Amino acid sequence: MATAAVEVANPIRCPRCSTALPPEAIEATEMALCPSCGAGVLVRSFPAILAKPEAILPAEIAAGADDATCFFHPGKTAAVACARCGRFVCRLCQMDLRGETLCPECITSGMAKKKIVALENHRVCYDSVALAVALWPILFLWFLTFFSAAAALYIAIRRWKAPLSIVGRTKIRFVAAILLATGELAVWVWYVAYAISHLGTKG
Amino acid sequence: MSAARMKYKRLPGRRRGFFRQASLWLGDDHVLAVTGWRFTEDYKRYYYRDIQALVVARTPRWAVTLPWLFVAVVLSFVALVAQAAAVAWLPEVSWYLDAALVLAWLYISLKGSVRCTIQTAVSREELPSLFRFWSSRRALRILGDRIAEVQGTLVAGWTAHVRDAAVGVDAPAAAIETMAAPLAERRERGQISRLLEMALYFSLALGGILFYPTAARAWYVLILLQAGLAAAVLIRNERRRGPRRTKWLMIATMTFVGLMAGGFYARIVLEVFRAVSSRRVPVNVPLNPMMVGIYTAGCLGLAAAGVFIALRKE
Repeated sequence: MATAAVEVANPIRCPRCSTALPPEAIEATEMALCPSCGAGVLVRSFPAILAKPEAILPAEIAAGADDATCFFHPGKTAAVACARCGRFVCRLCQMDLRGETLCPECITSGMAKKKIVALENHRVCYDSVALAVALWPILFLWFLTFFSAAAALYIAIRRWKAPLSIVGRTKIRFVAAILLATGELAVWVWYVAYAISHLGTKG
Repeated sequence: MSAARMKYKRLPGRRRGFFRQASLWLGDDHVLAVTGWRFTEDYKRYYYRDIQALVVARTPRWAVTLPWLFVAVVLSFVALVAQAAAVAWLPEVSWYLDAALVLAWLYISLKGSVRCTIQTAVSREELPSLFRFWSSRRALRILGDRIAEVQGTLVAGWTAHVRDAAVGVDAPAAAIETMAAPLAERRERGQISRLLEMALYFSLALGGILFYPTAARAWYVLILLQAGLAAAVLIRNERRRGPRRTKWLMIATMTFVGLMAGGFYARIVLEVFRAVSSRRVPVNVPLNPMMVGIYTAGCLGLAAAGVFIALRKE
């Protein structure tokens, strides 16, 4: 028997069938059954589900010439100053980011230049690239190692200062790539020297 | 407040596929979902104050992760080499282990897999790193406790309060319970407990397969002893009670059984490779009596410690 879903602004849904879950399933401390698909469902809900959506405060129109106005909307009264550039912005333009109030311009440039880590959503892990370039040819295409080792060395040295993963990683992959690539190149040098000397004695 | 220096702590559950990977990390004020290909990472932040619900639903997931694949490939490789070397029983053991691995994967994919979503006011997204039930439950507990520290908790029967209040107009204060102090750590079945069980079953299977040809009665006694211990641990865990001290016994058992079983297997495999390289076939690998003695004594010692801890009063 299906029961009515909890009437909140954003109902909790079953991850399998997307049906809104009934109160019995939402409040159960152990696994309950989804009335629609029958899957075992475990829910943990928090008070944020009861919060109503915050209404955006309208920007006030500047009363007179003495009022500080928004940098982006000259007709509106300024509410705050940007924590980075100091520009006055109205309520429409102010953006809160981890306790700081920023203007749209600083947010855009911070994202573009990757200066605001809290907004960063993509990174290339050059340490993994360098290690893979140094390691994979040894396993599958050993005759390419002369070129791949040089490439791995280049990537490791060129990108040594590039930011690594956000979740905190050491430079161990870079170090491993450099050691491995140097080893591969050393073997190649030894091999070539040996071949030349061997040919020389035969000649 | 530099986010660059923010310390993250990884939550249980990690997906390491051949190409795709995913993990979940706890930050100071948000949980970070990391997904990506082998050389790139994509980040999504969910702030504790915004998270409305975490939902886990059981559903089959056929994800092949790298560790499983690696073990299966290594076992198959060993089996093929041993077959070529005409070793008496190593190919069978390796194939059995391979088959057991595949069966375990099938079972876990079918019965022990889940889909987990995180819900905020503006989004409802799947967490790809949480796809097995046990890791999802642990992650849900840790993450849920952290969110509860920030938001407080909902009282039992909060949905009734919601029904009573005007719909979507105001958050009924009676439904929310603020949290003054961090939640105390709950005692429930942990990863170590599961690993102990797995180690016991593994040891059981390995003992049964490896020492079958020797037909020594002592081994059957040991295997029965281990089976009894495994069953006792299983029952205790299902009832969710057991002394804290068993943790150390669990760690000791796991380490011992793992080292011994791994040692046996590694020694045999090494011997086979050595024989193949020097073209001495068929290969005969006798069991080292000293190793057998150590294994017997270790199993008996651990079983005795288990009985002692189980019988001792809290």
